[in-house]
Amino acid sequence: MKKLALYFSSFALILVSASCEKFLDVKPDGSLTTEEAIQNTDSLQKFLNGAYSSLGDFANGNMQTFNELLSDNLSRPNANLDYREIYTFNTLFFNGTIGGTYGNMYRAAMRANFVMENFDLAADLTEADRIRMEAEARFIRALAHFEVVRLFAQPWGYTSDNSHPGIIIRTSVEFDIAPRNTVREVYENLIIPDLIFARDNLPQSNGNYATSDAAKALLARVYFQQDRRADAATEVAPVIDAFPFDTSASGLDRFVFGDTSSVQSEFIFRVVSTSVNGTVDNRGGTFVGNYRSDNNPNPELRTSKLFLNQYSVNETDRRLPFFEVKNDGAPNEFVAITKFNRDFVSVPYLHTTSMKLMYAECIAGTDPALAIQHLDDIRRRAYGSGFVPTNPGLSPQEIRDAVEYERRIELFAEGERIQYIKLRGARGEQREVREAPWDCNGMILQFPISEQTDLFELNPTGGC
Amino acid sequence: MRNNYSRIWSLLLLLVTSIATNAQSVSGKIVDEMNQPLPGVSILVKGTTTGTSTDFDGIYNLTGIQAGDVLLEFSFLGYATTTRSVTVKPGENLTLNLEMDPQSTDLDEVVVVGYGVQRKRELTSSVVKLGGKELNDMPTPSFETAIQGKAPGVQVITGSGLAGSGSLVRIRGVASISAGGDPLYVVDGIPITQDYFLKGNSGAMNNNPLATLNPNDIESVEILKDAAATGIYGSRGSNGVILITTKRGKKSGLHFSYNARIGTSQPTALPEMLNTQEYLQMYEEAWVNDGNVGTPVLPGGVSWEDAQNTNTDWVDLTTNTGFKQNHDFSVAKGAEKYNVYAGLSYNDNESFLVGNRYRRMSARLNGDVQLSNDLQLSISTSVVQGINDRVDAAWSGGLGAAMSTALPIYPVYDSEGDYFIGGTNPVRVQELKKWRNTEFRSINNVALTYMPTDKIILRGSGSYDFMRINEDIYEPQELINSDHAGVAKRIPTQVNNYNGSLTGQYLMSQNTLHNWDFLVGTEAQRSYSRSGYAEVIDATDAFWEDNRMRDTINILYNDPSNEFTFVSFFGRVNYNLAGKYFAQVNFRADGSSKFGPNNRFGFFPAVSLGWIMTEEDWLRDNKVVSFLKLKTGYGLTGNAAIPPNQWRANNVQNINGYNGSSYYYPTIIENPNLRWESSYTFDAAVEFGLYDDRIHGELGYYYKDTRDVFLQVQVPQASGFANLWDNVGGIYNTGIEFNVTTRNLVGAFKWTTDFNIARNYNEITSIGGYSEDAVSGGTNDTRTVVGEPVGTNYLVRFSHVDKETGAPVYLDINGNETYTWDPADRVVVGNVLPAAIGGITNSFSYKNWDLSMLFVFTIGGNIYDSSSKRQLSMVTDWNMTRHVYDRWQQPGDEARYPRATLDPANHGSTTPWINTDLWLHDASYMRLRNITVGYAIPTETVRRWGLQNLRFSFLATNILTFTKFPGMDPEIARDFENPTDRNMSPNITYLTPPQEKSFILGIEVQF
Repeated sequence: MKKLALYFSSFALILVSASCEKFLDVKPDGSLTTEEAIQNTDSLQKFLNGAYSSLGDFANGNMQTFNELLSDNLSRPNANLDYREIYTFNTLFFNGTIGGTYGNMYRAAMRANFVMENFDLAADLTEADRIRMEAEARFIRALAHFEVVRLFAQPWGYTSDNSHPGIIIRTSVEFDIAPRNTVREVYENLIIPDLIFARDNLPQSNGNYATSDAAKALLARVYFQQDRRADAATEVAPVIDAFPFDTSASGLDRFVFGDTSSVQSEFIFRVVSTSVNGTVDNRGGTFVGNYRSDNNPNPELRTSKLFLNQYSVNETDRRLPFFEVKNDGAPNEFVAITKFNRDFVSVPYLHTTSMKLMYAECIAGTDPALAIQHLDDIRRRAYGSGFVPTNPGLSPQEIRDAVEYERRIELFAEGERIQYIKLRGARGEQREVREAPWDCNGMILQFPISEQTDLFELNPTGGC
Repeated sequence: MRNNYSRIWSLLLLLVTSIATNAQSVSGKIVDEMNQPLPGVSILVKGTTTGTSTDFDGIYNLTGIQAGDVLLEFSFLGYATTTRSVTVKPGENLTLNLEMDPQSTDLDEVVVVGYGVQRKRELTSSVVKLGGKELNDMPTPSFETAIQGKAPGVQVITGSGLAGSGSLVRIRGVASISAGGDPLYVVDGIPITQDYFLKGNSGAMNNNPLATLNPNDIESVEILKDAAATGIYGSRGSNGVILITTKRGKKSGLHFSYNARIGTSQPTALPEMLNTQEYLQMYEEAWVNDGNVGTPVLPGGVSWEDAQNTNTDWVDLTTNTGFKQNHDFSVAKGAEKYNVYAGLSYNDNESFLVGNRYRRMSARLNGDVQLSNDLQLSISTSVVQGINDRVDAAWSGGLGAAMSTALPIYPVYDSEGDYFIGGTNPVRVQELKKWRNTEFRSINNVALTYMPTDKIILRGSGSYDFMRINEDIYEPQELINSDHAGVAKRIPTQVNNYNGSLTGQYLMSQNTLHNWDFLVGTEAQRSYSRSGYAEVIDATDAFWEDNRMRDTINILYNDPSNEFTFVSFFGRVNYNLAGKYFAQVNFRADGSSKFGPNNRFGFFPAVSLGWIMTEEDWLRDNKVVSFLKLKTGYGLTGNAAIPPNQWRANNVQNINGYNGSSYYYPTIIENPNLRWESSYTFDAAVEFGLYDDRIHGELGYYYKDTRDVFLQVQVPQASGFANLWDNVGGIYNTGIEFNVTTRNLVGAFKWTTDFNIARNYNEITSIGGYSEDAVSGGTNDTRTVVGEPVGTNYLVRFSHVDKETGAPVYLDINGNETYTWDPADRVVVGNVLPAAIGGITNSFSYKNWDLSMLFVFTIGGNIYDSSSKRQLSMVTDWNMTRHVYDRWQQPGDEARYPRATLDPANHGSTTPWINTDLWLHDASYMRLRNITVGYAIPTETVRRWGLQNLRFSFLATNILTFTKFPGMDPEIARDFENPTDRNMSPNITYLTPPQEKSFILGIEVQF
């Protein structure tokens, strides 16, 4: 009987152990090792699309909203406390909204790096495709770093040599803890070289993905932030020609849903929402969720009459219908925003209007006539019948001020306002935002607690 | 083993009827302590082979007795063996009726252990057995709730009043941080699907995988606590194992049973929120305190006048009295060659939350067939459908909204008669949103047992556990305020769990002195699950209502699927010397797909010893000590309850994609060294019986050292990843457990007391150099701190309210007073672990009446009332509770809470979301969990009606609670975000609904 038990157990052992290793080597459906996932150019292209998707997870209104909250465009958020922390210039390391967006920004950079580290796995990758993909990946990586450094570090020009703490530069996929690079390093060692490479190697046309013109436009914006006006002008001029300015009133309404540039000629680079099989991949939800006011009596983000009154002096301003005074005169009065009263929108990131405004400012000192011409394109569209040409005798500074006036309402909600104030502040002007100086502690966001290591120092707390 | 008994009975019956009859006989009726007939009692004429057993009516007729003095022995499992001496005259038909006493020690009781059974007296491990009676003595939506207070060292925190919510079960504390800390559940030998996070934390509820087990189908539950007991489950034994055995037809003949219960559900307590007048008063006070003038600007854009004219009691609108009913019908039939059990149940459980209802319909069929003399086929199968009409709770809405952002100044309807949408309106959401989870589960097992001799048992078993949950949500146009007609969503999740095992057992005895029991076996398991998503944006109704939509819409299944496998080899040797000394060695080698090639297999051995001292001559006839046993064990067990596929680099595809194209992305990078958590457990206990076992119990001690504890650490996000799994933690758990049963009164009036108490302490010994914040229990500031228990509260300390200014004074990290709240000043505070937990049951019976009361208690520990920070601090768009009246109002006030303000800056902060130890409260409580009064109609009466038994009962649960906790309910099982949160934050309440209080009428009929 003992023998029988022995035979039985031996048999069972043999039976099972033979197929054991195979049985234990389980890989769930849809889970792929890197080698399995990247076999050819197509699959690598899909990883690149994943990097774009990450970009669409932070440039979808989150990043723009953080910037806007730091500016003087909005009034106090209705209820969102994470937003209120930003608005009151005192963010703490537990702010989950900031933490999530910060993670998405670096996720885009990581995914871009991942593509670049795995070119060798795509056997059929042509040299042309490799260069094009590297250019796209570096465009995404530069964009992510640029937006992180603008939100989480004091601006270019805050110190004379820009040696003040910036952010971690990520050029590879890794977990290693690292100290913060300086702002100069972030701009000069990553953002600018990446964008130059992207500019020189991206195609002219690339659907909704990055193009050479998009890289030029972004590089121009980077130079502009560094106050390198001539360099910015050089980069941006051809882009403005390539993406004709929409002179019709519909050009004012750039938060639209539609997946081609047929909607507007101005879109240089957008985060697109698309409809597939009846389901919408909605990337503009943050804008809609925060501002939409036709179905919500208490939109989260709103502005005040203080903002609106500056513009309502000119009643013909066709941008005014984007603002609607609610509870007029009552204690709970506020100004609602109407341009996001839609279910779905795509998010314009680089567009001709912003480029013209930047260009006008850049050449105000060198070619004031051309600067005024661009400014008047904007104004003509905005004021329609009430348009009055700009006085050609304005000084460069007066031109810049006029541009700033238009820029503020034109680019409302797009997040450029605060960075522009910081640029003017870094030039040496006395600029304040809601009585807080442009360079106080609270003008930049606190990193999430996950970032704190022996090497990485968080931003100072204490607000403004 | 159970089947062996039924066979033995059958054999006995055969034996008895085939014996030639003598003239004399003894007959009579055997009843139990409730005066109910006791079928199957074995009656033996001592010194002969003459014997019989009672039929269903407890009647026996023992024939073939020699005239003269005879000694009759009456024995029945669970009852004290009784002997009676009678003198039978020639030709006499003597009548002898008897009432049998329940055996207090149950030492001869058979307990189910992994892959077998053992007699309780021979156990060298720590196992608690609860019978069907203990599990069904109170209405529970899910069986594990009934364990509470009945098993020492087993902490059961009952789920909230939300229908279908799960309990939290911890055996001897928690030895895991990020991996699942729940015990392994094994139903009829099948490790079942037991993932609480299949549906994440949807609507503030974790899906309870145990809700689809029908409590009435359960014959017994065995709780394996130490390594000697759980070691046979190797890599999955370190947090304990709960074995569930379902009912089988075991009695001869045909038996029907019907139980019904109807009752009500009400909350144990409700929050006392401010009404409009009170809220406006607070708001105005804060407005003025902040230096504002004029009419305050209220949340929700509500004007002051409109606010004054509104007073909505949202708590009242979101709660009501629920109605519940339960019906169980079963048939059991046993015969020589087969037995069968079939059960049908319907449970309808309306909670006290408006719109919330869980219905469960279940059917079970268990049977055994003797194919030949040595071959038996056993089948167990069950199908269950659960329909949960969902509502939002806690942070998600409903009553949670009534306790937070649904302000009394908001109306349900605006002046136009439409739903008010200016602020939180839980009534609008509840009435417009259609939300249902439909669960289907089927657990099936087929086993073949081959017994070529009575010493060898070979068994092969295959099983399939299928589970599907369809979560359907429909939000009409009016709710979503969209251009679209309405949005219907279906989120299906399904799990396929296959298991196969082969075991061989060999029993060997030498001169009855050396008794050996060898077991070897192998087992393989494969679990495959996936979930999907479908959304229709112009839908007119929910998926469950719309056949066309259900049939035509394609569900996109998410990648990756969850799949894992286990392959195991195990063995056990039990040795027993003269029924006095016992030893057991067991081992299990487990391999799992969850781990990389470097650590794919683990080996888990355990050894234990027992000594029944009362079998020694020097103690055998002691007048006081009737039973004394020492036992001890040491072993290694593991835990593998982490998501699959965490060790290898993983890339997944997102089908929906971006810009109309799918995309790939890396989710984790490779960690080939990922391995099991390992627990080294030492256990020692003494079992005792005093005064003929009228007092008996057990005192135990354990020490469990767990290494390689999984941490799902949050890595710096600049890496582009959020977290990764790493085996870097260490925890030890130690504790003592004591339980005692005393039969205080015997005789006509009986009184029995069961008491148990246990203390557990645990401490983190390592977190691998990561920071306290690398692993956190959600947003509630429970953290992993070396030298402190798992999930210790890590908070800024609140010192006092400044008497002059009313400002809150905090303590900085060095203990200096400060007016600024800074999370950098967080320290370890409070005590997450209770000093002791336990329960006490008193059972009384007199004639046909019975009464039992179960009290459960927790001594010490803290509850963190996380909602208080918004309900009692700054005046915001949250409603407040009446406790806020103990606030600072003017210089000189000594108040518990700081002055009212609208601006966080006045409380030294940027946000009202500030955690401080002001919200830590004593968690001690004692609760009358259940009280039952029963009356059984006398047997003679029911017999006339053609019944065997008829009993009526009245039950009440949770009607009395003694606590100092100022919140609603001191017993909290919150909704959890993930296993880490479940392990680390059991003592946190956040808008959590209270438990339910219920009154129930029951009827039990057997015929």
